[in-house]
Amino acid sequence: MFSVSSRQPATLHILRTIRFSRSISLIRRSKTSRNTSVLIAATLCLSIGVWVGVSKSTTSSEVNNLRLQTKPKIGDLFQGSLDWRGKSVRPFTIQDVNSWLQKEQSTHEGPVGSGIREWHTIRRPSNEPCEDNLTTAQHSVTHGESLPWMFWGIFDGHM
Amino acid sequence: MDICKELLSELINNTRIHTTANTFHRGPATSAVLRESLVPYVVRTLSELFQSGQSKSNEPPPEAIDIAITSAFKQLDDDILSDGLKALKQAKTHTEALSLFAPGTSGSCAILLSFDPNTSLLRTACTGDSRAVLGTLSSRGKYIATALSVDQTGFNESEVARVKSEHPGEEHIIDTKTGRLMRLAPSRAFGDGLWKWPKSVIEECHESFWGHPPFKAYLTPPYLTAEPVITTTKVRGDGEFVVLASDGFWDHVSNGQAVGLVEMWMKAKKEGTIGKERKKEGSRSEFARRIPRERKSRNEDFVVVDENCAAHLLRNALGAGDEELLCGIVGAQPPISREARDDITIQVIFFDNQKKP
Repeated sequence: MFSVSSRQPATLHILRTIRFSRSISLIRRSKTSRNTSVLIAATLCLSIGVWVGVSKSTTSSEVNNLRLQTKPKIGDLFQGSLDWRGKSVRPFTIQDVNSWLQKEQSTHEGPVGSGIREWHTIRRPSNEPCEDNLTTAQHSVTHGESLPWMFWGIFDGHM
Repeated sequence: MDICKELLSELINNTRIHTTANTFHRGPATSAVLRESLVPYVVRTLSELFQSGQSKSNEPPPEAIDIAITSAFKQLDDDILSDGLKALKQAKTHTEALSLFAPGTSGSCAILLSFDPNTSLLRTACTGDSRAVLGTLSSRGKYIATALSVDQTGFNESEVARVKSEHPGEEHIIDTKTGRLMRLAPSRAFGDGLWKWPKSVIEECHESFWGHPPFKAYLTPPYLTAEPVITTTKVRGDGEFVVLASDGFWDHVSNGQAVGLVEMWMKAKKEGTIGKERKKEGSRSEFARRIPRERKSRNEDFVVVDENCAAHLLRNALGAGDEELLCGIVGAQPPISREARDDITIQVIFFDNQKKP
């Protein structure tokens, strides 16, 4: 049951690509005026251009980049291609791993008087959405002259 | 950006359909509440305790501080669960009922470190199976690992004894093979109304609000508690550190390995050799045809590549210097990814007396 459901999004994506390609070919074969064709082509180029720009600027996005580059906004005209292999779930390289590790990490210096030199944090999901949460805090809990306390928490949601 | 959102929500929806149908996957609602409010609840009870003291120099006894932290944990869980009852009695719309139900329907473990720099006391309050491990410098100059918490699961004998004594005659509720308490891995948790609410509430939630039906043998709830186990350690401030991580990390790395990895990282940091180590020869970059689910990291694969110590620990938990393995595990996409790795959160805290005035 597991593998069947997991294959679903990838397969749907491929079918969508092929169907869209066919529908675009049909538009071209029909008696649409040349002007309209040019307009469609221009719009497509523009939207793909804008869209590639957007996808490149959102490196922090959790979404697979190749997935973005082959999918337009839902419902938009979309050229697609015959080349679908490796696009829906692409193989990772060590560079992909490195940028994946960069996404939700931080280092912090301990505030003066905290007794802490520094702390380092990372959170990386497996589930969508991620069920882990975390916090770091500094609060005064005692009297005015005392140093505030530090807190670190990890909250593992489940399953 | 809209495209990203669309795609992300599509991904999320696909995953949700799969997981709610087949597992007890109920999402991040409870852990989001804990992130928002657990520390403020603890701070509130601690402040009340300290203000109730007779004189300003009077430090409350350590037990009183533990009791205050415990009561804050239990209060937040009570509030989360009572919202589920409110959903049935007070909600005026379906969406309002779902909103009230959500944090009590999903569940979450919690581990909270609190450090008082005035006394150098570090308290670890643990509900569930996340873990804190202390690294201390021994007289021989090597770091040694000390667990500050013990995972609360059906593999923990004292937890099994506690649950059995609270539910006499219901021996079947803990599966000793899987270590699960009525299908749940941790034996303590926040939320998880399915193990805590009265049966009638679960039934009504099931009938009207898409909730899971009650378990067949649901005789003496609650079966779970959010009450933490608290340990206290005095920090010397001579180079100690704590590794705090969710169970997804500890699935692959032992306490000793985690402390050894931090030590390795500190050495590389000091010597300026982070990321400069040459790739080792040997079994690396071979096709990792079979990656076992219970995969344990191997010391000989450990590398120091990351400037961030938490990222360093994560890389070494998920394949380390074996890049083929690392790409295979990290590249697994949801929902298959849950078979390869769990969500993982790590915080590494370095103590230092020099930071005191």
